[in-house]
Amino acid sequence: MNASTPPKGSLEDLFRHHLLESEAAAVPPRFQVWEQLDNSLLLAQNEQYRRRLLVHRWAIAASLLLASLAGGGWWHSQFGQAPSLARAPHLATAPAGLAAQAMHTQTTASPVLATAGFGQVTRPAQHGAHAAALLSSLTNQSAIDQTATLSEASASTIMAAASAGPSLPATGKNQAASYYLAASRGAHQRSTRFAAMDRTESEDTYFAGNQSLSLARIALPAGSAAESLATVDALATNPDVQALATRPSSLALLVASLPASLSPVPVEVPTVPATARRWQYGLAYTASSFQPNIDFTKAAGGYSASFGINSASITRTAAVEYRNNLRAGLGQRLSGWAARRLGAGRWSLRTGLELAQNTATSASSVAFVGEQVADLSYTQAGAGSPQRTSYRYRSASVPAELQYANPLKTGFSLYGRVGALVSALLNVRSDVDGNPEATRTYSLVSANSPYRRLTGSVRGGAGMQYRPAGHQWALNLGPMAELGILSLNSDPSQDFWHQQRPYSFGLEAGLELGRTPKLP
Amino acid sequence: MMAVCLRYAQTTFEAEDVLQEGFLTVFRTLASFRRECPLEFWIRRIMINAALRQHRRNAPLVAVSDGDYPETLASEEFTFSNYAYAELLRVVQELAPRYRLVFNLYAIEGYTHKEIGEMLDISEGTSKSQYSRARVVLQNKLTRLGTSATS
Repeated sequence: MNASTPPKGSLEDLFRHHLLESEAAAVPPRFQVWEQLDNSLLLAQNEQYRRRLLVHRWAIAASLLLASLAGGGWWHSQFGQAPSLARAPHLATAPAGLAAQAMHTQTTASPVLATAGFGQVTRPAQHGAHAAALLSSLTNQSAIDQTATLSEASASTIMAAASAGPSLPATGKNQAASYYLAASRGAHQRSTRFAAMDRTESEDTYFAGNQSLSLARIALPAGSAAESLATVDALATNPDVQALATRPSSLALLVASLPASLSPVPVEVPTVPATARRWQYGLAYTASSFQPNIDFTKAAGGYSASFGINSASITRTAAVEYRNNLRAGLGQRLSGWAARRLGAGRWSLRTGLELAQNTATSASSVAFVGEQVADLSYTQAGAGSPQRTSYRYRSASVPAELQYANPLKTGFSLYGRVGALVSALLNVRSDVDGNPEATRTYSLVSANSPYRRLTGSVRGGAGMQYRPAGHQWALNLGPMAELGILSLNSDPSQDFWHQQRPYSFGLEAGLELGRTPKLP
Repeated sequence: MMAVCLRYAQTTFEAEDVLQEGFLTVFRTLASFRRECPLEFWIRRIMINAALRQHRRNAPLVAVSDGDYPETLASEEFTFSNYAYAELLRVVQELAPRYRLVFNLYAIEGYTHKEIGEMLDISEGTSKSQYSRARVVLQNKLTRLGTSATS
């Protein structure tokens, strides 16, 4: 080209010539642009910290909520239940079902008593009320309270009957009234003694006395059986009979003396349907903060030098950087389990199958992906900011745990669990942000996996259980903690006692299925 | 890099925004730079991507029919010394956004119409059509500039 000829070209050449040439010469932006850039970088960094803080705040909030639930449940279980109801079922276990029969007879006799009509008989009614008052004042035991209530009901029935007018012959009425009075007195005496006795003895006596009262009431409607009543009256007021009445066998004699038409109708004591229920099943989901806590650092000679000059020292530096930047991630676990009750208590053994996915993040300036530098070419540009790497660990586990729980209690109750589990690390994946080529995946059968394929952990947890009345399921919610027995990396440089082990803390929510077991 | 941003932006302020966003990306991903190319090219590519993102946010590309476009573009010769950088930059910035993008990518950066179509999510024909129209506009403006310069 002639030097005197000015350069010419097409439209594209013209623009390319001027615009690209001018790019070489500095076209500085305003000074504020750099300030804004600095500010934006700071904001981005703060945002990253804020996201991390958010996770911690949620964990704290969940813990507080759980603690409130646990405290509320405990408070409810301690102070929220009426004491009389708690002991009511105990009455059904009285010797030979006498208590149940007596109570039943007593309650069914009362209406009969009303229809029989006690005319002008007001004295027995007053005594009946007096007996009820005495009974209720003697002790605060729930069973006695209940009986006192029944006695009061009987007294009120008598009062009602008093206004209904006479329908029995005077003799019969008087006999019956006197009998009732005697029986009530007998009950008074036994109740007075009852307060001074220990629990077991007093209950027997109480039931016996109550039986006398009930038998008396059976006799009352039968105004035409005055002779029989007189016999019974004599027997009931006889001190010897009263002494015998403390034994069930003596009551049988009393019953035998009644006419066949007046013998008490046997009432079936309702029994709890038998349920075979040693096994229970359930599902659980756990969300936790998982820290793999891996330490890949080794002695300088422990790394492969096959990647080139200085690769061992670069990898060691990267391993330290990885360790320093290692952050916990979200861990999730889904488990199906079966528990078998141990004996008749509240302890059970639990096992099942669990699938877990845990995550973690770290960062290094040379894209450390787990066991080594992903690509040594990064190290040439290693002066930049750390490159974030995400790790995902998938595993399957079989746990064996000892569990304490109250399988009978409805409402809120506490549970606790401790045990160990064996896990198979199915898959590990390392992703370097913005660099898909550096992704590493290790499976259970990968020959060069730096991770331990089979690991063991110990685990414990406790929390609240909610079991609605009348249902065959329960919900569990509580914190859990897990600690690895071995390090996650397969070739740790530390000895067993100084290895860095993975751990996790989280919340477990579970659904328990299966029929409610029957405790003896 | 400011010069690159100025070519893709309509105003200096817009160019500074692109520059800022581009450098944020550079600082975040610098460690992933693998030296497969010079660092300057890598940053330049990031700036172009930032400009494309900015354009998508501000003025989504309107689907334009492929239309008619000349297969062979008129080739007129321009004397380089007749034009200054500032004039050429102003001419490019005055182009409609979609014309400016296609012109920059094709004429300056050297991308093919197929690649531009993928980058802008338009068809290859649309890219060609918009480029030819941009070229006509620029040619007219340059002619006027040359005329006024010679007169």
